[in-house]
Amino acid sequence: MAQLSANQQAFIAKGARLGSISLGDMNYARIFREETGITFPLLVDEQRQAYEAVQLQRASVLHILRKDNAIARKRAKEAGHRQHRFGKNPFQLGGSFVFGPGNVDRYAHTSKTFGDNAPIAELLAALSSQPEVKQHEAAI
Amino acid sequence: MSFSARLAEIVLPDTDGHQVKLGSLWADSPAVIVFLRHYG
Repeated sequence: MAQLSANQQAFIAKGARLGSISLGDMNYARIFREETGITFPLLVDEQRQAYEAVQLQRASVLHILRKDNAIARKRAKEAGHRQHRFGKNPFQLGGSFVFGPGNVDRYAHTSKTFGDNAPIAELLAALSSQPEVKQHEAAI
Repeated sequence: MSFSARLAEIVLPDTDGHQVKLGSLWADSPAVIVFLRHYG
Protein backbone atom coordinates (compact mmCIF):
# COMPACT_ATOMS: atom_id res chain seq x y z
CA MET A 1 0.00 0.00 0.00
CA ALA A 2 2.86 2.34 0.80
CA GLN A 3 4.30 1.74 -2.68
CA LEU A 4 0.93 2.39 -4.27
CA SER A 5 0.54 5.63 -2.36
CA ALA A 6 4.11 6.72 -3.12
CA ASN A 7 3.52 6.17 -6.83
CA GLN A 8 0.05 7.70 -6.90
CA GLN A 9 1.11 10.54 -9.20
CA ALA A 10 2.65 8.11 -11.68
CA PHE A 11 -0.66 6.24 -11.93
CA ILE A 12 -2.63 9.46 -12.27
CA ALA A 13 -0.24 10.62 -15.01
CA LYS A 14 -1.26 7.52 -16.97
CA GLY A 15 -4.91 8.45 -16.61
CA ALA A 16 -5.73 5.81 -14.03
CA ARG A 17 -7.83 5.91 -10.92
CA LEU A 18 -6.77 4.17 -7.75
CA GLY A 19 -8.87 2.28 -5.26
CA SER A 20 -8.20 -0.06 -2.38
CA ILE A 21 -10.35 -2.63 -0.66
CA SER A 22 -9.84 -4.15 2.74
CA LEU A 23 -11.77 -6.22 5.19
CA GLY A 24 -13.47 -4.33 8.06
CA ASP A 25 -13.48 -2.50 10.27
CA MET A 26 -14.41 1.02 9.21
CA ASN A 27 -12.70 2.68 12.18
CA TYR A 28 -9.36 1.13 11.17
CA ALA A 29 -9.90 2.40 7.63
CA ARG A 30 -10.60 5.95 8.83
CA ILE A 31 -7.57 5.98 11.12
CA PHE A 32 -5.42 4.53 8.33
CA ARG A 33 -6.52 7.29 5.96
CA GLU A 34 -5.79 9.97 8.53
CA GLU A 35 -2.36 8.53 9.29
CA THR A 36 -1.32 8.06 5.67
CA GLY A 37 -3.04 11.02 4.03
CA ILE A 38 -4.22 8.78 1.21
CA THR A 39 -6.75 10.55 -0.99
CA PHE A 40 -7.99 7.72 -3.20
CA PRO A 41 -11.01 5.61 -2.11
CA LEU A 42 -10.48 3.19 0.77
CA LEU A 43 -13.35 0.73 0.66
CA VAL A 44 -14.35 -1.70 3.37
CA ASP A 45 -15.59 -5.18 2.51
CA GLU A 46 -16.97 -6.43 5.81
CA GLN A 47 -18.85 -9.29 4.17
CA ARG A 48 -15.80 -10.36 2.13
CA GLN A 49 -17.94 -10.40 -1.03
CA ALA A 50 -15.35 -8.74 -3.29
CA TYR A 51 -12.57 -11.01 -2.01
CA GLU A 52 -14.72 -14.04 -2.80
CA ALA A 53 -15.66 -12.69 -6.22
CA VAL A 54 -12.01 -12.74 -7.31
CA GLN A 55 -11.19 -15.84 -5.23
CA LEU A 56 -8.37 -14.33 -3.23
CA GLN A 57 -6.60 -16.91 -1.14
CA ARG A 58 -6.01 -17.27 2.55
CA ALA A 59 -2.67 -18.18 4.02
CA SER A 60 -2.12 -20.74 6.73
CA VAL A 61 -0.01 -20.48 9.83
CA LEU A 62 2.73 -22.29 7.91
CA HIS A 63 3.16 -19.24 5.68
CA ILE A 64 4.56 -17.34 8.66
CA LEU A 65 7.53 -19.70 8.66
CA ARG A 66 8.29 -19.38 4.97
CA LYS A 67 11.60 -17.90 3.93
CA ASP A 68 9.98 -15.52 1.44
CA ASN A 69 7.76 -14.18 4.20
CA ALA A 70 10.78 -13.50 6.40
CA ILE A 71 12.45 -11.68 3.50
CA ALA A 72 9.31 -9.59 2.90
CA ARG A 73 9.07 -8.67 6.60
CA LYS A 74 12.73 -7.65 6.64
CA ARG A 75 12.29 -5.59 3.48
CA ALA A 76 9.25 -3.81 4.92
CA LYS A 77 10.97 -3.14 8.23
CA GLU A 78 14.02 -1.69 6.47
CA ALA A 79 11.71 0.57 4.47
CA GLY A 80 10.27 1.89 7.71
CA HIS A 81 6.91 0.13 7.55
CA ARG A 82 5.37 -1.37 10.63
CA GLN A 83 2.29 -3.49 10.97
CA HIS A 84 0.05 -1.87 13.57
CA ARG A 85 -2.99 -4.07 13.41
CA PHE A 86 -3.82 -7.57 12.32
CA GLY A 87 -7.46 -7.01 11.40
CA LYS A 88 -10.33 -9.43 11.51
CA ASN A 89 -8.74 -12.05 9.30
CA PRO A 90 -4.94 -11.94 9.54
CA PHE A 91 -4.57 -14.83 7.09
CA GLN A 92 -6.46 -13.18 4.25
CA LEU A 93 -4.16 -12.55 1.29
CA GLY A 94 -4.47 -9.65 -1.10
CA GLY A 95 -4.24 -8.97 -4.78
CA SER A 96 -3.73 -6.23 -7.34
CA PHE A 97 -5.67 -5.65 -10.53
CA VAL A 98 -5.84 -3.24 -13.43
CA PHE A 99 -9.29 -2.98 -14.97
CA GLY A 100 -10.48 -0.96 -17.91
CA PRO A 101 -13.79 0.37 -19.25
CA GLY A 102 -16.12 -2.35 -20.45
CA ASN A 103 -15.00 -4.64 -17.62
CA VAL A 104 -11.72 -5.50 -19.30
CA ASP A 105 -9.05 -7.12 -17.13
CA ARG A 106 -5.63 -5.73 -18.00
CA TYR A 107 -3.64 -7.24 -15.18
CA ALA A 108 -4.25 -9.60 -12.27
CA HIS A 109 -1.98 -10.61 -9.45
CA THR A 110 -3.29 -12.67 -6.55
CA SER A 111 -0.92 -12.97 -3.60
CA LYS A 112 0.40 -16.43 -2.87
CA THR A 113 1.77 -15.55 0.55
CA PHE A 114 2.40 -12.54 2.82
CA GLY A 115 4.49 -9.86 1.17
CA ASP A 116 3.80 -11.17 -2.33
CA ASN A 117 2.74 -7.89 -3.89
CA ALA A 118 2.45 -6.90 -7.53
CA PRO A 119 5.50 -4.97 -8.74
CA ILE A 120 4.62 -1.31 -9.30
CA ALA A 121 6.39 -1.44 -12.68
CA GLU A 122 4.01 -4.18 -13.85
CA LEU A 123 0.96 -2.20 -12.74
CA LEU A 124 2.23 0.87 -14.59
CA ALA A 125 3.04 -1.22 -17.67
CA ALA A 126 -0.50 -2.60 -17.69
CA LEU A 127 -1.80 0.94 -17.95
CA SER A 128 0.31 1.53 -21.04
CA SER A 129 -0.48 -1.73 -22.77
CA GLN A 130 -3.38 -2.65 -24.97
CA PRO A 131 -6.19 -4.31 -23.03
CA GLU A 132 -4.98 -7.86 -22.61
CA VAL A 133 -4.99 -9.65 -19.31
CA LYS A 134 -1.64 -10.53 -17.82
CA GLN A 135 -1.55 -12.94 -14.92
CA HIS A 136 1.45 -12.32 -12.73
CA GLU A 137 3.09 -15.47 -11.43
CA ALA A 138 5.10 -14.99 -8.31
CA ALA A 139 8.54 -16.58 -8.33
CA ILE A 140 8.16 -18.37 -5.04
CA MET B 1 -16.38 -14.08 -16.68
CA SER B 2 -13.62 -11.52 -16.09
CA PHE B 3 -12.59 -10.44 -12.60
CA SER B 4 -13.81 -6.92 -13.31
CA ALA B 5 -17.21 -8.19 -14.43
CA ARG B 6 -17.53 -10.23 -11.23
CA LEU B 7 -16.75 -7.14 -9.15
CA ALA B 8 -18.57 -4.48 -11.15
CA GLU B 9 -21.95 -4.70 -9.42
CA ILE B 10 -20.63 -4.99 -5.86
CA VAL B 11 -21.24 -1.91 -3.71
CA LEU B 12 -18.94 -1.14 -0.76
CA PRO B 13 -18.76 1.80 1.66
CA ASP B 14 -15.81 4.18 1.69
CA THR B 15 -14.41 5.90 4.77
CA ASP B 16 -16.85 8.79 4.37
CA GLY B 17 -19.80 6.43 4.38
CA HIS B 18 -20.49 6.78 0.66
CA GLN B 19 -21.64 3.65 -1.12
CA VAL B 20 -19.33 3.01 -4.08
CA LYS B 21 -20.26 0.69 -6.93
CA LEU B 22 -16.95 -0.92 -7.83
CA GLY B 23 -17.59 -0.85 -11.56
CA SER B 24 -17.86 2.93 -11.39
CA LEU B 25 -14.13 3.10 -10.62
CA TRP B 26 -13.16 1.81 -14.08
CA ALA B 27 -16.25 2.85 -16.08
CA ASP B 28 -14.53 5.73 -17.86
CA SER B 29 -10.81 5.13 -17.43
CA PRO B 30 -8.48 2.36 -16.25
CA ALA B 31 -8.27 1.74 -12.53
CA VAL B 32 -5.72 0.07 -10.30
CA ILE B 33 -7.54 -1.83 -7.58
CA VAL B 34 -5.57 -3.23 -4.68
CA PHE B 35 -6.97 -5.68 -2.16
CA LEU B 36 -5.21 -5.44 1.17
CA ARG B 37 -5.03 -7.80 4.07
CA HIS B 38 -6.13 -4.97 6.35
CA TYR B 39 -5.78 -1.22 6.81
CA GLY B 40 -2.91 -0.47 9.15
